Amino acid sequence: MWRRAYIAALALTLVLTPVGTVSAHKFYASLAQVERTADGTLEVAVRLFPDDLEEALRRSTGRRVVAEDSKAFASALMPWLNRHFALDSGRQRTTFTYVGAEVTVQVVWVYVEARWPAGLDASAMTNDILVDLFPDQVNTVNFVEGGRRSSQVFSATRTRAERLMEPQR
Amino acid sequence: MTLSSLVPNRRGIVIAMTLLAMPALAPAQTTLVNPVDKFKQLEEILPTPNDQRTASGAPGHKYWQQRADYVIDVELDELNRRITGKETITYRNNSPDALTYLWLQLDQNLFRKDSDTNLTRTAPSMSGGFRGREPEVADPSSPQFRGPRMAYNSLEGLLASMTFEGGHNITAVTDAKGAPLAHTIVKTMMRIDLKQPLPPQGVFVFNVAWNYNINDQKRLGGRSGYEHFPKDGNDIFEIAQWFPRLAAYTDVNGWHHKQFLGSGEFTLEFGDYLVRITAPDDHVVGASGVLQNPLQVLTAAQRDRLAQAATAANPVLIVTPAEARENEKEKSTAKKTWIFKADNVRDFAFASSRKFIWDAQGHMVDGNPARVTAMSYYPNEGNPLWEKYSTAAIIHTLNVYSRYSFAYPYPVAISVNGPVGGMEYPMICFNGPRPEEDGTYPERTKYGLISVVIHEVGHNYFPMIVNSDERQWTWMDEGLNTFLQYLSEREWEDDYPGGAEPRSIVEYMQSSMQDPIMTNSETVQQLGPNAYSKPATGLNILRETIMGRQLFDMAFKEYSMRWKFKRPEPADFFRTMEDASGIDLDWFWRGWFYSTDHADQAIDGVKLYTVDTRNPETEKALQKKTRDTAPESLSDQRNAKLPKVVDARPDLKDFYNTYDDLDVTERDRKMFADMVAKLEPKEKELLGTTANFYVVGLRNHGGLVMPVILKIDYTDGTSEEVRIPAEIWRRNPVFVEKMIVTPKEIASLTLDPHLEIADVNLANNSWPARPAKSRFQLFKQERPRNPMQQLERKPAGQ
Repeated sequence: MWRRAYIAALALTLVLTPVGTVSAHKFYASLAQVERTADGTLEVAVRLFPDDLEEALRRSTGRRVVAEDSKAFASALMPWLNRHFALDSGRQRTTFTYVGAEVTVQVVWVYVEARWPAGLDASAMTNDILVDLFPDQVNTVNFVEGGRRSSQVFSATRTRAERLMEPQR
Repeated sequence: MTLSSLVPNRRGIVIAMTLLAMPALAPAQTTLVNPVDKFKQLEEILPTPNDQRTASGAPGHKYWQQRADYVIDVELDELNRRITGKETITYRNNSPDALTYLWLQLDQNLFRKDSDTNLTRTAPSMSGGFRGREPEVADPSSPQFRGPRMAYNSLEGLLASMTFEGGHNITAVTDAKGAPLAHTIVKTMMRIDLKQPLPPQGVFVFNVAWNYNINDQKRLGGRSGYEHFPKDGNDIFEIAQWFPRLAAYTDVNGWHHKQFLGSGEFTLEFGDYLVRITAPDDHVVGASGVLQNPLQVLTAAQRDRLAQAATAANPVLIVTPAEARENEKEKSTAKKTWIFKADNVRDFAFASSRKFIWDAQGHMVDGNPARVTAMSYYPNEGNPLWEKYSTAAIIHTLNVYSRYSFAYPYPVAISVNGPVGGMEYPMICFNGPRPEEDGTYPERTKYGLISVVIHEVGHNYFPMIVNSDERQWTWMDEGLNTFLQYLSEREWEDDYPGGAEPRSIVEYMQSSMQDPIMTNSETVQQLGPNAYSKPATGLNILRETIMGRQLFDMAFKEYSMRWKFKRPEPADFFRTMEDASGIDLDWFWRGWFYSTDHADQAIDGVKLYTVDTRNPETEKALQKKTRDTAPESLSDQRNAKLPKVVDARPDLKDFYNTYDDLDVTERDRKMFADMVAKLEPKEKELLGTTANFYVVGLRNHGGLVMPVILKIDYTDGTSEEVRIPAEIWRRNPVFVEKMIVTPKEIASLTLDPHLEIADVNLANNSWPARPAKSRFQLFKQERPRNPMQQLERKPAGQ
């Protein structure tokens, strides 16, 4: 089966889902590349499934948002993304700004950036993208800083990582 | 500088080689690593071959499997949304073992309130506040602040699962004579105790009666269920996992009674089915198998249209959209019984609704003895997409999959539109995509529909016929099927979106948190990439880069033919692919299926050697040039201006003040002439070689051993590609050197130029080094910076 088809009981919609919600994919996942450049900027690319993201934005804004409609999409996206995807360090928390998006048939890539003087070693991350909609959602983040690489996997049971550049487990 | 590396020729005479200074990375230290792990055969990892499963990956001479034939009467109670059934099962014990009990699967028990699925569900995210490290200043009016909350649908689904009375009610279990049989229900399994053990080759006939409430698929989820359409008050029923089914009993695991938790799918036995489905008489019913009583359930017009469809070039409507709309109004309470027969299937599913449009087209698949009828059932809400694409996609799937595996052996292939997004059963599958209410649809929906139909119809081959154990090894059906889906999509149209390209899996491969593919389905962390994308991409790499299409296709077809209507294990696939192709792939299975290593190859140092001509006129001049063009140190530059004693007093100079050891002397010339005089003609020729000898250092940072594909660009504008099998890493999987001998001068080198091996870091793939831009940087460089422009801009591809 396609993973989209089976969702545990919590994750389904009845009246609010527009007819035509599509199962264009088979499982629940996002994947982000977070690179902190030498000048202290976080350059972020997040890959999501468009139908899942549209459903989240519909709930977040109370209206239908189509990924291909770039203006409405960007303004709906950013508050949502900043709520569910953030680094923090001390009292600081990221507020990403929109750089752009690429929408394809299967995935949407969202590009955002933020000034972030703190290094990744001194940062933690909260990532609960879509876990309230899809219990099986798995969010992977690959971090890059100064040639060092690390990965963290977030899910409904792990929405926060304190040591981003150290091996998980 | 003359560091000499000596290359012996056959007679043991050495030719001196000269290393020329290269603008290269410093050659890194070579550490020899024990290579055994990467290329060691999988002997102790794969199960020992036996009489059931051979070392070549084929079924053995004592291969056996059980069989269960079913005769079922079932009624769909539309008003109460309830299934009531009774069945007679004829179970054949083909194993060499006497069985004292039988196990049956009761999948509907997944919906019981006390099911493991419900009990083990972890708390939904309440997504409130700032979790974890709380900022000292938390402003509740800030958009970043959240109070505790729960998604509307989460709450609704939770409440629905608390009130739904789901699960199989078993009302009778009796033997052939009607005497009750002792039975015990263990969650989603039921054990029937036999009065006498069932001996090898014995046959046991028994009856089960049951009923259950059908789940509202849109609220409760599941692989089947009903969908309600408030506009016209009708439902679409997609009914599957609905009757108590024999659990599999096999040579590998004995009884497969691993509980059904919802993620892992099924392990089933083949058998023949005769199923009588009673439904409201204005419903249209589609099912696994062939309709036996068209005279009773179809109108004369419908029978005519079906006859016409058998040889039609395009789908013929058996029930038209207008007729379906009329049916929607009827709400008949009378009943009708549809009889279906399905031979040699491992399961049986059906769909029923008065909303269905029904189209059909007979199709002769290459190599098939008989026509297959491809059919689609869908509501008006599915058009215009369904009438255009569903049946066409079924036929395309049969054509492509049959070519890569075996001719489709069943008489019908059906695609149904209802609540389920995508789920496969023998001969019938459920597919979700629909257009918008106004009949328009985004591109995504169109390709989503075509892809899901290909995928679910494709499951007829894997695992409906090549009957792998889905509950244990999701990749064996999903990975293989996703791979063939990808091949089918390439043949639908040019530039069909998506696919199993290695570059698409790079982000997953580089993440450090993965499970190997060879991990049980229910415990895999990221089942999607793990069981679908990674195995499919691996097969694509095997086919395109490692084995080649011809060898791969032959071996893959052999696997399909060997295990058609049988039950393969992972080792049977691994062994057959090697056995049929003659290519040792253990290193690939080990790396791609049993480990989480990724590919990251790097060019690590390039050295250039030329042949030392031994001619003092040539060599000493070269050495002089090297010496004289060597950089002068800062001290030397400053010291040059200082007055020197020997300049003031030339009498202090002697022989050594004018001697240059790189001047050619008469003695040098004589020695060279003497040496040349002693050489044989062949040796003289070798000495005259003007080729460049490049030694390229290759480092494997990722751990995964993969072929090395190296593109060489020369300064004269030409280029060539060297394809080196993965075995180059067999003695040292971390660092190797490869020599390139060429009369030309190399301008640049590029590893993996066609992005074939899912190399996760392209920054170290070039010589001279070329910075690799991240996805973010590539995107940004092509886009205007201004956010207002961004907002006005059309998205890519529009």
